[in-house]
Formats: sequence, structure tokens, C-alpha cells
Amino acid sequence: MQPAPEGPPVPLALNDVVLERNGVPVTAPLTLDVQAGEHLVIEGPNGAGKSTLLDALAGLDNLGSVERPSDVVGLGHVGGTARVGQRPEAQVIGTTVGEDLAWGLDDDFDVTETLAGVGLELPEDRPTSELSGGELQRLALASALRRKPKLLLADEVTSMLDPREQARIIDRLEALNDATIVRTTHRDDAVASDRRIVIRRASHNAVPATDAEAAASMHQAGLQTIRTNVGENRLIRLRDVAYSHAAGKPWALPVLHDVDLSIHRYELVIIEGRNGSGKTTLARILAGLETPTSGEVDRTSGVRRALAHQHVRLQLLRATVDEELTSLAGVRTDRESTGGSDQQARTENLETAIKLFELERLSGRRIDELSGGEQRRVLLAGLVSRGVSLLVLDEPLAGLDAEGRADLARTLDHVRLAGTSIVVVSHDVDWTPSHISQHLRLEDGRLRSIAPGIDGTPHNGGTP
Amino acid sequence: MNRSSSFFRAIPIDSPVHRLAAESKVLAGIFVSIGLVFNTEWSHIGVAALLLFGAFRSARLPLSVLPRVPLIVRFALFGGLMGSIFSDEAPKVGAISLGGLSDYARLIAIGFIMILWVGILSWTTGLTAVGFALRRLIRPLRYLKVPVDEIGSVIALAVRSLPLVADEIDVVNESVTSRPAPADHAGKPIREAFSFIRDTATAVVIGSHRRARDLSMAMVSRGSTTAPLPPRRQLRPVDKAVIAGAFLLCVAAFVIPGVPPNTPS
Repeated sequence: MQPAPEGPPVPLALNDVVLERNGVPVTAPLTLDVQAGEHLVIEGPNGAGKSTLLDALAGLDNLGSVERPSDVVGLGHVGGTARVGQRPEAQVIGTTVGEDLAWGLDDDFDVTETLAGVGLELPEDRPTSELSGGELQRLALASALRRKPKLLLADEVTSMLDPREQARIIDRLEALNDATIVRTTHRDDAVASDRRIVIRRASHNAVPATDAEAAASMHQAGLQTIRTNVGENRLIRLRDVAYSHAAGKPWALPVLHDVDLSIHRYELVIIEGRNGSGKTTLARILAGLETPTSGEVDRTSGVRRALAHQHVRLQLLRATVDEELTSLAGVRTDRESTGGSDQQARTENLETAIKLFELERLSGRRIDELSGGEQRRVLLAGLVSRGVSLLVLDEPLAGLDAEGRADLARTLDHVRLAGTSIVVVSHDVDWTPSHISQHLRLEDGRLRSIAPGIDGTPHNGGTP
Repeated sequence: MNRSSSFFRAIPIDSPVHRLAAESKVLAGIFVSIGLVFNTEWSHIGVAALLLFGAFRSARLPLSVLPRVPLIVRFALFGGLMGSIFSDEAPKVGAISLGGLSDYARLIAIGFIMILWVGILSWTTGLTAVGFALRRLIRPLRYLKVPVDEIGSVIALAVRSLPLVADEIDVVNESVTSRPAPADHAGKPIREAFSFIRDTATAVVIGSHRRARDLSMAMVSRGSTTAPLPPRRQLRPVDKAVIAGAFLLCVAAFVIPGVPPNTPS
């Protein structure tokens, strides 16, 4: 642990340095100065090294790279440096709300008042395992603010918040006049008084930008779609579906009521809802991972379903891209292959998917070298070539910048071109890719439509 | 919120058992368990079962809190039953060993009693409060130079991580089981089993490694690796009575010989 700070941890300066992580350079050469009292917003694409920069400013990494007034950063001390990282569940370390706020500080404080400062109202003894992502994010921020930091480093701290909560937090940060704030964001939420810094990717790990239009025309130039065994137009229909967590147990919690929903081939369905609205449960029911407490799920025979989780990495189980793809697709790689028609179809599907998802250049790479977006492409390509005809994505947008979103939209286009229907479940309301066929909102466990279906696509509940 | 566990979840109702301090419930459980484990006669098991029943009733817990016994455990129980019936333990009636059967029944009874004690503790207390209680109960060991702060932090982090790890295991499990059977290993069950274990273990290790790194970064950011421990509330007379009662029962279990006496094996 670091000793208490002797003076303010600012000003800071970086002078044409390349920051590293685990000995590997991850940023372009950076030149930056941070003056006392400044509010800085760092923007840049995923993978440009924004988090690495914040960790360097916090003195956690790249120690020689940052010029600072004293070697003592005072991380975590009152009047020193406070840092809130990404992944909200990893920022909260206490088992209860009260324990988390008390962690590291030896003072008397008012829990209710501290939480109110970040728009939270929670009992002190509430287990942190029961909090939503947005609540965790604000709790971690409350712990940081309690330290009255002279330097606050905040890495994507509003990524799980809805726009209203987000605006409140940004206002709160802006009001901290005597603190220096450096925060990263993937959204365009910088305030006029903020100084904006854009950092770019280092050239050696730059991803060649694929031109979406060129890619689309390539697809039109004769790539066949993935073969599935689904003859019917409608893939799945939910009627009067209700769901209760732990039904029959004393802690049963009803989360869905009267849900009616039909999904057809080639559809792109967006289901939005705030944290706790039941959207993950609906996603799991659609993907066949959960059975409704009551109501009917009619699935057309032959329809394979799959769920892509928010943290894709946990779903990728092999070391390399090629092993992962063959495993996901169920393709034999040994020489004893009998070459049955099923095997042949799988192999052809996989070859098509590799072209469709532009994965040729990832061949031979290790999974852990890939960016989050690339990992997702590998997973989706594998699922599609397995013959999945209904793909459900849970919160695919969290932490994605504009470029990442464009990349996701392109990937989803590929999925649809392959003949697979998509359901995207998200708390993020300001993302509307083209070709949406149903736009729905979950509120208190009930589903309602926001936008009517386009180009005559049979709409929710309106199926014959 | 993890889906797999019905243990470690407090039932939000009010009862005399809910109102007891977590420390007294943990201590009482420890005393009763010690008394039972070293004195396994039927009379002692009966007393423990009565205590358990009384605790369950006064906690006003509905029967639906009881988890279902998983299929694999039922198979194991059945296998054990078969083994004990046909053992050599006297007395025997024909091929059936009554002695073996009795030993087995006592073992299972004690096992269920212990599991249900933990169940009542968690249903009336909640995992976080049990964590706090354990950390307070080990405090006196600091006079023996036991690193109680470090152990306390480990307990706190374990309590914090358990639901997260359970969630991750759920994801990995779903991901593995929803994959097509590895085509390379068709007809080779042992290789298939190995590849399953390898895939699951790799994903879980990667997940845990990242979690450990994140936790340490978060602790460094707070400037302390020591989990704060809220001060203990004064124990009420009823708490002291419960602890004393459990302690006396434990002593009595050693002093009073049980009936029928166990056959030396």
C-alpha cells in the first residue's frame, strides 16, 4: 500500500512516451499535461490504451513514464488520488454497501448522505452481490468521492447508467471545482468546460478499417447463406409467458408477465429496458436456457438457439481462433473424418462464416490476443456456422465506443446475411442500427412496442 | 444474481432465530456439531435432530426452502446403502447386515443434520452476516499471533467473490454443454471427458485470474487491503443463553453415555 500523500498529486506530464502493459507497448507515443483543477475527458477507440493511461496516471503501472510532483501518489488516501476502473463488479470489494464505503477509511460517515450524493438509496447492510451494474458503478464512485481526491481518475464510470442517471453523475463531477478529473468515455458526454483529448491506436496494433459497403458488395457477389434445417418462417413464439425467479421458494421474485412475442427469419429485434426490468431473463428464455413459470414457448422444430453473453471471453474455450471455430461449429479436424453429409455441411458453413465475418486474417491468432470486438466476431461466426438460427445477444453494447458500435452493427449484418435472426437485449437506448424489424421495451416485466415493424414484417402479437 | 444456489440466501422474515446474533448461531452450531461428531449414538443423534427441528420451527421457515437432493447424490446414497446392507458388520440376519445398516443410517443422519444446521444458519442470517460473524469470532486469536486481519480480509473477499464465481461457472457450463459434442472425439468417451475438463478448467482459471487481478487493483485504489469490520453489537441475554446452552449440551454429550452403545468396529 502507498503512504499518505505529502502534497497534491498534480500537475502530471507525459512527454512522448509509449505506455506498456505486461511489457507490450499498447499506446501510440503520448504527450500530455494535466494541470491542477483541470477536467479532462480522454476519448479514443477501444484498444487505444485509455485504461492503461489512467492506470499510469494512478501510478499503478508504467512508473517511469509519468512526471509527477512527488513519487507519493497517495492512491486511496483522503486528499490524494482516487481511481475507479471499468467492470463495476470488480470495483466494489465490500460484501455489504456499508463495508464497501468504509473500506480503507477510518472515519465516521453518514451512509445515506454519501449514497445520496451519487443518486443511490440503499440500506447499509444490503449485500453488494444483489446490486445491479449501474448501482455498483455509482457505489464505487461514492467510495472514490468520499476521499475528497485532488486527482480523480474515472474509467468509463457511466457505461452502465441510463441517460438520466448519467447526466446526474456528470453534473456531480463537474461541480468538483478543486479536484483534477481525468475520465475516459466512449459516449459523447463531455461538457463544454472539459478539455477533450483524443488518443489514437498505436499503428502496430491498428485494425485495418474494413469498408462496410465494400464488405456488403462482397457478400452480394455470390456468398451463399448458412444452411439450416428450418422450413417455416416463424422461428419462435412466446404466448402469455410469465417467469418468476426461484418459483415456489420463499424468495421467489416475479420478473416477467404476459409476454407475447413472435420472431421470424431474418428479423433484428431490439429489446431495451432498465436494469432489473427482466430483460436478461427474457433473453435466457428466448435462448432456451430458462423455462417460463407459465405460458407457452412454441419453437419451430429444427430451430437452434444460442445466447451470446456480455463478457464473450467466458464463452470461448479454446486457445486459438482456429480451434475455437472448429469446436464451436462441431467440425472434425482429424484425418479419420468419414465425410458424412452432416460433416460436409458443417465444414461448408464454417468456410462461409469465416469469409462472411472477415476472419481470415485472424487465423492462427491466440484468443487472448484479440480485442473484445474480434472475440465476439469469432463467437458469433462459430455459432452461426453451427446452424444457430436464433441468436440472442445480452448487453453487447456496454463499453463500446462509436467505432465499436459500428463494428457490432456490421457484425450483426453478417449474422443476418447468414440467415440468422437476432435479438439484442440492452439497457442502452441510443443505439438503433438499420433494419430493425421490432423495437420493444420491457418495463416492470411487461413488453410493449416502441416502433412498428417495418416493411410489412409481422409485428409483435400481430401474427396470424 | 446467481441461479444455482438456494443455500446462502437469507429469508426476509422475522423470527426469534432471525433476531439472534450471527455469532451466537455460529457458535451454537459449532458446539452442537462437536458434541455430535464425537458421540454418534442414536440417543445423541435424536437430541440433535430434536434441536434442529425446534430451530427450524421457531425460525418459521417454510418447507419449500429445503433444496432438492441432486440426482447424483441420490445415486451415491443408494450405492452406499447397498454396500452397507451386504457388509460383514454384525449382527447379521441372513445375508443382510443390520450392523452395517445401522452404521450407515447414523452416518447419513449426522450428515443431513449438519447440512441443515448450515442451512438454517444461512436462511436466517445470510452469507454476508455469517462472514462478519466468523471474522469477529477469530479476533481473540490475535493474541496468539494469528494474522486475524489477513484471514478476515480473505473471508470478506471470498464472500464477495462467491456469487460472482458462481455466475461465471454458470456461463462456462452453459457454453460447454451447449456446444456440439467434440466431433474429433466421437466414440472416444475418455478423450471427450478430458477435453471437457480441459475446456472448463481453462475458462474458469482465466476468469479467476482476471478477477484476482481486478480485486487487487480495486484494493490498492482504496489504499488498504484490510477489510473494515463494523463493531459488534452487544450480545443480548438470549444470545448468551443460546451460546451457554449449546456449550453445556456439548459437554453433556461427552459426559452422558449414549444408548444404544456403538459396537466397536
